[in-house]
This record gives sequence, C-alpha cells and structure tokens, in this order.
Amino acid sequence: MKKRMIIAILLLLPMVMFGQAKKPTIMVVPADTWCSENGYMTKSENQGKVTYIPEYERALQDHSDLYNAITKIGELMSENGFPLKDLSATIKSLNQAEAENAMLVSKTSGATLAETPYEKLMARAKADIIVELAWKINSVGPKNSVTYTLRGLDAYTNKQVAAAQGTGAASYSAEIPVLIEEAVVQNMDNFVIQLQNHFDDLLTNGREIALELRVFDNGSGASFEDEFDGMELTEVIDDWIAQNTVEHRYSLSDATENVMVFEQVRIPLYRTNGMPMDTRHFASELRKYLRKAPYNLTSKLVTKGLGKAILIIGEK
Amino acid sequence: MVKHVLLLMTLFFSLSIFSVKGENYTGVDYEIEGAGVGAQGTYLVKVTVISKKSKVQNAQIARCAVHGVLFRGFANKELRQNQKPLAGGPASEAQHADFYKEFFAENGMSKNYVSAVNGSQKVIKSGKEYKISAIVSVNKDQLVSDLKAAGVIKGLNSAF
Repeated sequence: MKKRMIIAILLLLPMVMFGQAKKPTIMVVPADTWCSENGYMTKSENQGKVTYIPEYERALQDHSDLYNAITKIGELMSENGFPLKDLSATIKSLNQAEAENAMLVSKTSGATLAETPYEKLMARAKADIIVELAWKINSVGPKNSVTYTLRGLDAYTNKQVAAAQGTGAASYSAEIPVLIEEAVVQNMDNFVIQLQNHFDDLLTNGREIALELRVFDNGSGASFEDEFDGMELTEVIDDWIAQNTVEHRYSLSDATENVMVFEQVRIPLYRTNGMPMDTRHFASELRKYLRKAPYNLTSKLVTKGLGKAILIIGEK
Repeated sequence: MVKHVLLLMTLFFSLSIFSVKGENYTGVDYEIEGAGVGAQGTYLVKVTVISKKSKVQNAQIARCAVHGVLFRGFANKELRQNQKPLAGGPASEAQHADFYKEFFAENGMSKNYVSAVNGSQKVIKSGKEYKISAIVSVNKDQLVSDLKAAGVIKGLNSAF
C-alpha cells in the first residue's frame, strides 16, 4: 500500500510541478501621447518618412511623477500577486548586456558573439502585456484635477485587454503628485478586474496567438499554392490549424501564394501530456507536420514573446 | 376548495417576497455609494439601509457595506467615483451561495472588515420607512485576500 502511494505521488509530482500555464509578463510604460505632451519623443527620419520614438529612459530619469506613478502601479499589482516587469530595470539591464556582449570574445580565436540584425532589433524592452500610462493636469483657477488613463494592450494581438480611465475630483489644496497617486489607487481595482476577466477568458477559451507563415525567396519556387495529393498547401495548413485549436477558433485573415496570416488563434493552455503549451511549441508542431511526407518542407521558426510566431518555409 | 387555493397562493406570494428580500444575505434593502477616497487598501462608502425601524445595528450596516462592495459596486457622480463589484455580479454570489450565506450571517465574518466613521450616522423618515445612512470604511485589501484564500474569488495569479 505504501509503495503504491509513493508511486502515485511520484507520478503526480511532475503534473503539479509543470502543469501550469506560462505566466505573461506585464510592463508599464508611459503612453506615446504622454511622451509627446511632455517632450520625450525623438524625431527619426528614414527615407523621407518621419517617425517619433518615445524616449523612456530620459522620461524616467527626468520626470519623478512618472517614476512614482509606475512604482505605485507596481506596488498595487504586487499586492494582487502579480509583480510587474520594471521598465527602468529592464532598460538598465539591456544597456548593461549590450556593453558586456560587445566586450565578450572567445579565448582561442578572439571571435565576438554572433548576432543577426534581426536579433539585434529584437533586443529591446518588451512584455506580453504593455500597460500604457498617461495623465493630464486640468487647472481651472485655483482648482486642479487629474485625467488619468491606464490601458493594457496584448503586445502581440494588439488587443486592449483592460483599461481604466477617468477624471478625479477637483481639489484646491492637494498637490499634483498626491492627485496622481489618488488617481492610480482609485482606478487600479477596475483595471485588475478587467485583467482578471481576460485571464479567465484565457483559461476557458485558450490563449490567443497570431501565426504568420511566409516563404523564403531562395529560388526554389516553393509557394502556398503547391499541391499535395490534390490539396493546396494553404488548405493543408488551414486544416491543421482547425484541428489543433480550441473549438476550431481562429481566423485566416490573409492567404496569398507567399503569405498566410492567422489571427485570433486559440491554442490550448496545456499539451496532451499536461505540460504547458506556448506559441513556440504550437508552431513547432506545425513545423514538424510539414517536415513529414508527403510535404517534406524545411522551415524556420521565429517567435516574438509568448504571442506570435512566424514560420518561414523553404530553409532554416 | 377555492379558500384552500387562495390560502396557498397567499402563502406562495409571501414566500416569494421574502426570498427576494433575503436574496442578498444581508436580509435588508440597502443602497451604497462612494464617499470619497479612503486610505490605501480601503474604500470609503456611504451605506443607506431602508428599514421599518428607526434603529439599525452597526453590524447590519457593515454587512451591507461588504455585500455592496463585493456584488454591487458603487459610484458617486459628484466625486467622480465608479467602482465595479470586486467579486463579480449576482452569478458569482449564487455560485458560492453556501459560503456567502455563512459569511453574511449575523455571527459571520463579513462585519469584521468594516469600521464606522464616527458621527456619520443619519436617520431620515421617508413615508412609512426610515433611511438610516452611515459612512464606513471597508478594508477591501484584507477582504479580497481572505476571499481569495477561501477560494471564492480568483486572483490574477491563480491561472498561472
């Protein structure tokens, strides 16, 4: 009897240890409108096209109200059992890693670290849910009030998953930092309730991801219009996605000879063996399926955080 | 025979009225609105109990405050407050009916999360009823934490 109990515990242990869905990371950043209004945007010109990029590092160094507001949101989220990824620490760590990697060479040949231009581009502050923070001080005579906006965006599906917005009561005496703190505290619970609803939806309907399929232009002539047993590759992939999503929920928003874009793809939170499912594993299953006969296709898999994968067919 | 039917109908009618009133486990009709910004981790709310008696126990007001915060939410147009219910709507209340019945009982835990603001109680006579209002502070952080521990409301972390 004792032996059986021990065996049962040993069998259940991996399920308990690994049977948890991957936790999304959340990071608070100042909204672009806030950065623009407060002069924290850099103008960049590329082939005549002007773009404005927010300067988070300078904003955090210069604007103590921003620093305080982000810290307060972090404190309240920690109290809710969900610590945030800190923007300031992430920027510092990226700068530090960049400096260290530049100095790292091998002992024998003196080679530096290999890094593709794409990998370089991807090394930026990122999270699965980006929470945009903005506020504006409204002054009417001696009275001040704060209009506050907090917006949670799923970084890879670009959907707004939670928001809290409002203008606080006007005050004659309270200082601006106090009004901002009040706005943060007053709006946080509604934000958390919506975030909770989003997580509940994940549990019921699966995690929403985006999947993109492309073709390498390597002269092989491969395309999604290639036929296998009378079925175009587009149909083969479409069928596979339908069979492997939660309640066949997905949307094929673009399908041409070289590109297939799947949106709102609901993948299960767990694999059949109880291990957590993620975007990479889901896309990798498709990669393995296409590798087998009769398709025999080699493909390269690139992921972007938890929510997006790109499978490029043709070569590695 | 007609008398019996009438008697039964009266009995069912009165039962259905009482069940509607007792549905929220506080046993009374009440209103809740925001009363300003409380200290961090608390809500400052004004609770108005509508009763046939001019006196209502503080514990009753406390139970209504906790019930309102959990299942009704509160607002105040003047103070620009709008707080959603912390435990969701009536569906959530019904889902964990056994727990909440005990929680809101006279000797239940619900009243422990509330402290009254001194001198805020007011009684207004409105027709045949009294409106007894008081401003109270609800320790919502502790309330939410305890309900999460009891498994009746979910935390952000519970899915991961």
